[in-house]
Amino acid sequence: MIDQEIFNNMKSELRRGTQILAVLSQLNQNQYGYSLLQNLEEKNINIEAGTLYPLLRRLESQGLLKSEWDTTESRPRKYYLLSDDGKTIYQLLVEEWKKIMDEMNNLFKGDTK
Amino acid sequence: MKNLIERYVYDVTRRLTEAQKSEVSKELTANIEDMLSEDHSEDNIKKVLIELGNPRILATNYRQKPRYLISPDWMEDYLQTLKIVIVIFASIALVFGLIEHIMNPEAENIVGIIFEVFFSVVGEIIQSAFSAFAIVTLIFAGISASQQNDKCLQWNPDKLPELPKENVKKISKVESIVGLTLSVIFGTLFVYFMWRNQTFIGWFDGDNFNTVKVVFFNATEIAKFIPLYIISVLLSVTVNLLKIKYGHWNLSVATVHTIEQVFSVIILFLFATNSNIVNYDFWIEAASYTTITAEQFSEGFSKGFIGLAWFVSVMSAIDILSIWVKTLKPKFKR
Repeated sequence: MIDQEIFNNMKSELRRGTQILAVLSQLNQNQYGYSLLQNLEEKNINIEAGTLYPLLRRLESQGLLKSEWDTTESRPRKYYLLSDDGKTIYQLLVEEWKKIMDEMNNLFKGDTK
Repeated sequence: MKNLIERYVYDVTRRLTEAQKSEVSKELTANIEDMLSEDHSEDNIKKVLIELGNPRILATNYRQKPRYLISPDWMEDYLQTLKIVIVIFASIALVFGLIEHIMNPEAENIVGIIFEVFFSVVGEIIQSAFSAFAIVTLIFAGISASQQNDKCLQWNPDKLPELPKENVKKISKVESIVGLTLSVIFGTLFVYFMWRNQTFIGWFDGDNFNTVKVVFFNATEIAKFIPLYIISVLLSVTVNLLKIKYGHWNLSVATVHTIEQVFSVIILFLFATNSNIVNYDFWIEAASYTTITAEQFSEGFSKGFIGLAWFVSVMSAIDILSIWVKTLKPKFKR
């Protein structure tokens, strides 16, 4: 019997690193907090609302996202979009992600031999 | 129940900086409205708020930088220091509390005095333990805050601690520190009492406890012992400092310890065999209250004192012997 709690902790730790990548990948077009959450959910990426909203603010303060309040609709919404820096960093991270996949796949192959 | 949303947003933003407050509040409200999707029933609001999570945790996520009083890097040093300092403060409070309340009790009868002494001393110990806690915590919070920013703390491999020696009898640090504190406190007090002999020990004038009629010790004789006693206190302080420095029994600690013990026993014998040490008038005064003569008093006292001195010297001899065994045994084993 494995300890389910240990496994769950490791799983969420592993996934936590990919959250930023997932969020950045969806922000080529304007999104507001909740639409982004639903968007990710549709693609089976589960990120909690309480994690996503602060994360968006953080990425904005780091200059990876730019934001704009839309007050034309019935209720105001804050829209986020990748900035130029954000696009560059997203591309670099994607390359890094592919490298990680290759490296890990290599390791796993070696393991099953 | 719109109130719930406002209260939730308030509970998050009150934990944030002024700069963040208004923006987070506006955005969070908008997000909650989106999540509600037109259904403003109380149940739905509660569901959404629970999904967003505990306001405290959400605020932590918004704050970005982790905050703490004492960083995890310093926690272990903090706890160790805290333990030692609390022990020192508590033992000082114990000794001074006992002396102060036994010497100047406010209660009238013996039961009252016992209660008074017990509760005031316990109170003072708790008080000084709290002061110790506050002082150590403040100091470590300061250290922790000042070192937070330079991330790659410079450290020097030369300053790594030495490995503890194997095959040696360890001396606990707390024990040595308590020993040091106690010998300083009692040493100072004892010197003070001997020096102020005239006002503290002797027959008091009737009901008036302010003036001593007949003093117990002979002032000129006792004055000879004060320098000797100070040397003995200094020796005991040295022993404890050496114990703290080395942390185990070795030749120098054992040697100084032996010298200190032998020296104290010699002083004790000089004291006990000096028949002029007690003011003879004191015994005359004592004899006037009883059927025992002053001579018998004096003789009994010095016999008792010499007996005590022998007892102490035997104990010291056993102590010295056991310490040399502790010190030398590991050497033979090797």
